[in-house]
Amino acid sequence: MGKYIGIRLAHALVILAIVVVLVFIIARIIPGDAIMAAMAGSVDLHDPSVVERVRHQYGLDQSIPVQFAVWLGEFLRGDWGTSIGTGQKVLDMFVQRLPVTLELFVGATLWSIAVGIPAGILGALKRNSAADIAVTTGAIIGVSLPPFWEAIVLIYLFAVLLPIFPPSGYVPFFEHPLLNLRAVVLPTFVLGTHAGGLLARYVRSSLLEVLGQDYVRTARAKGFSEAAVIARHALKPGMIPVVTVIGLSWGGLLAGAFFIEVVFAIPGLGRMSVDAIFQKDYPVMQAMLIVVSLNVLLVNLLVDILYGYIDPRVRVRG
Amino acid sequence: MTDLVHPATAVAVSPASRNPALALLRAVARHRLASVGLVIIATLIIIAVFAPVLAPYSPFQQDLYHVLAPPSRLHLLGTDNLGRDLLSRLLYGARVSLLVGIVSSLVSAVIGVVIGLIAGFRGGMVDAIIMRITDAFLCFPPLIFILAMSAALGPGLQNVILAFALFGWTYFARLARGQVLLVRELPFIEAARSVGVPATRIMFRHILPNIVAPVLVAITIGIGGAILVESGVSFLGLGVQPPTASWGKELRVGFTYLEAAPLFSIAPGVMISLAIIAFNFVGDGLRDALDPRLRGANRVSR
Amino acid sequence: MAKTAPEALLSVRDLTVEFATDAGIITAVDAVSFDLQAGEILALVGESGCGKSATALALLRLIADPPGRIANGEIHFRDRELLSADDATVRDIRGNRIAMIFQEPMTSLNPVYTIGRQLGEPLQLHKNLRGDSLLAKCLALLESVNIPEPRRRLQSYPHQFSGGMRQRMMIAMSMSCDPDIVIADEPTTALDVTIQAQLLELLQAQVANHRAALLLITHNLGVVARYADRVNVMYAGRIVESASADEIYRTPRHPYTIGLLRSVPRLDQPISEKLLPIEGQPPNPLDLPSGCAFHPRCPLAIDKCRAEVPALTRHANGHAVACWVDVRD
Repeated sequence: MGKYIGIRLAHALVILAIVVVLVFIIARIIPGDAIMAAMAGSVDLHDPSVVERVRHQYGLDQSIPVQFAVWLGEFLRGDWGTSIGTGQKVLDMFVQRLPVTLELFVGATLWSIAVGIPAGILGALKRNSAADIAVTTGAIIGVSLPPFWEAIVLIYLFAVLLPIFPPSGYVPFFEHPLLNLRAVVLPTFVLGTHAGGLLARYVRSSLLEVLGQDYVRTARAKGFSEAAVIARHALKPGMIPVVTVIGLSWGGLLAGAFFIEVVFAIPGLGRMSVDAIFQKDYPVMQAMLIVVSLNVLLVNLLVDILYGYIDPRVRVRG
Repeated sequence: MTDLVHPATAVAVSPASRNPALALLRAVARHRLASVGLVIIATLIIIAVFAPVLAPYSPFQQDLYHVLAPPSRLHLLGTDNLGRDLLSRLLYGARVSLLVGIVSSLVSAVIGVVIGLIAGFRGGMVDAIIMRITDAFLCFPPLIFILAMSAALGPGLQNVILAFALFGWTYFARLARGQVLLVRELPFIEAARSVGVPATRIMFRHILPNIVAPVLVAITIGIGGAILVESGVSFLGLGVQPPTASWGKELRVGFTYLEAAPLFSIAPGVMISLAIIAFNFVGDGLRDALDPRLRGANRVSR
Repeated sequence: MAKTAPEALLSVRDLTVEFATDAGIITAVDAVSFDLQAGEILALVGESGCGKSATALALLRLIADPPGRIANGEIHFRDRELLSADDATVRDIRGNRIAMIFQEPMTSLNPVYTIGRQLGEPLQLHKNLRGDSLLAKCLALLESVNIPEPRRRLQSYPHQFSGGMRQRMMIAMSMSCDPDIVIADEPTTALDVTIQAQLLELLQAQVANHRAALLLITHNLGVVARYADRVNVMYAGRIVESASADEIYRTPRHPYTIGLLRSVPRLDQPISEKLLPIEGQPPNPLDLPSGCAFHPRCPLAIDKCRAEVPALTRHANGHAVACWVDVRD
């Protein structure tokens, strides 16, 4: 098991290294000299000596590898630069908004599990019934719905027509737990819809495959009731691929958060990223790309470890 | 129960498989959801092509005396904030979504498949480098790159498509590579190699036809994904330039008037959703048709 | 081996099993009737596809439905009729009074649970054993099938066992509740030839110790010769010959049985005797030949064989055969 985790960890580190280089390159090749653009308002860019001074100040007159080393060193020390848009320290901005987006992610994942897994199990057990058709159709629709539209429809239904939930805004949990929960019900549901559809689909097909396995027949031959056969012998092996789906979905939640946080006016990483993209706030964008990839890599690693924990065969395969 | 006879299944399969393309088409048509999806897609294509004929008004014709009008006999879906006929704008909007969706997905597929073929067929270092880079790209939702590209290059359809071309290929690369690794071990490929058929010829003559099916599924689902991203980019304020009608743009503006004119944002969203759902239905049907393991109950159990 | 016992332990009448396929309905088991006496070893022999496995599964109502279906018949076990019994009754018998050993010991064990957990399940379910008494019994079971270091092995997962060990564990599991009947469906087919005999001997010893009857499903006549008391030969879903193992060997009366015997090497015949494969292919179950299903491959077929299905007819010594021709002529 230790060796298995070691291999996965090394794999993740290699990818992280590529990501860091990639992000650095992207930041250099994107058109428009970011810093020059940012300075345009405050200094006279027609004066070559001023330009020279600014370039020197930001290290732009040095060779690319040196620039990379300096940038990486600063990043690792927690100096993520200053936002062009807000003038704040980029690291502070992330620290401030991370809990908000994490709450949305956790809520969305809980929704997707609470809806997707039972639906998938129902579909598999009642194969080809009306319930199964509803599950498979609903799952594809859930995967397909554009989150921004689903959000608007739910706002219209549950904030305008029936004012149960606030149409927008966010209250930190530790300020007012109840208002916080009320505010995140709709956003987390919308954010979890896609993952819920995916889960329902994968749970269904995975469980169907397991139910056809010889060992399920063995369990029946032992005298277990159908419910016990499923609970004791089908669910755990059936859930193995599900761990992957939950992990993959977690990585994709950020794209959804872009829209959700804009539509519901929630001050999280998603909205910050959209703002940064629009304002060409490159220090924030750079940091965002690295945080996003770290998030995905960490979740993938966690999935791999969980996988080894659930499926004893993986531990040996390494 | 291995002694349940195999000739039976062989008998059952052979007549249909004589023409694989036809068999596939038949299987898709028999698939409930896929046929619904095909009908929706056909309708959308007709709408996009014949928008000028079908639309009751010009999508640009403003009527500032009748802004945000509710549905009426004159304006079946009402009007937008500039008094333009919403229905007409939605019909024209099909052009943008379908164009971006189909072109982006195809371009991504071509780039991705070529990269994946090279990685899978070359193997070794080439493969390792390409796949690690692909893994790195796969760490990001493509939406982030596409948004950033659109913002950097400025609004416009071609920039959205360009962004797709640059960042949409990763999934196809991985898929194609995986298929190559499966296919290259098959006896007929080994045979071709052993008699000295050149690598590029094997790749395009022997391997490509074998990976068409899964790639087709991915392209179909990719079109839905591209429509989603395009409308999302438009919704956030990038993408096509006004006054071009696009579903995502209508949705964005309509959201501002949600209470006064709910249809203004809900109707464009219905179009976007229908389009994505339709492509996913067909993709799902194709996948079922191609993967006999997932097919109906009539399978003889082992 | 009380062949004359008035009441059989298990008595199967007109058992019919059908499977739906894309191309139509297959009758895998066609009105099969036989008895199993307490403590005896009965072999069910036939080629792949003859319906012997479907018969075995049907006895415990384990046919996957869909696509399978038990279309007709009665199965009397002690004082119960299993096909009309409620599910709870059948579950109470499964793994308890009638235990089953499957062909593939790898896929028949759940890969994500330990050997110990899976071994103990019938005891938990039917004997209500828990904790230390369950552990003690499991250890004893593994020891009884000669698995070394049983305490450590209970913690192993199936993939850490060899094929032979997995099947020994399956044998131990089948014996755990002291069943009246063990059904073994090709128990050694998936294993290395060198350990097949070892396992069959273990199985034979175990059923003898537990005084259980054994229904041994196999395609291997060599296995039958060494271990079975009685033999039913199946062809195309029907029993075509039934007799004691000695009778089958000394005086086979169905041309198919004779063909089978000629196609395997025998120790009781000189090596100069040639091995003769049976001509032709096993029949397509979707399109069975008219009359006796074996007639297209039968060297002795007469016109009547093409027209009418011969019934299984009992002769002297309990020897029954379904054939229009008397091969002794």
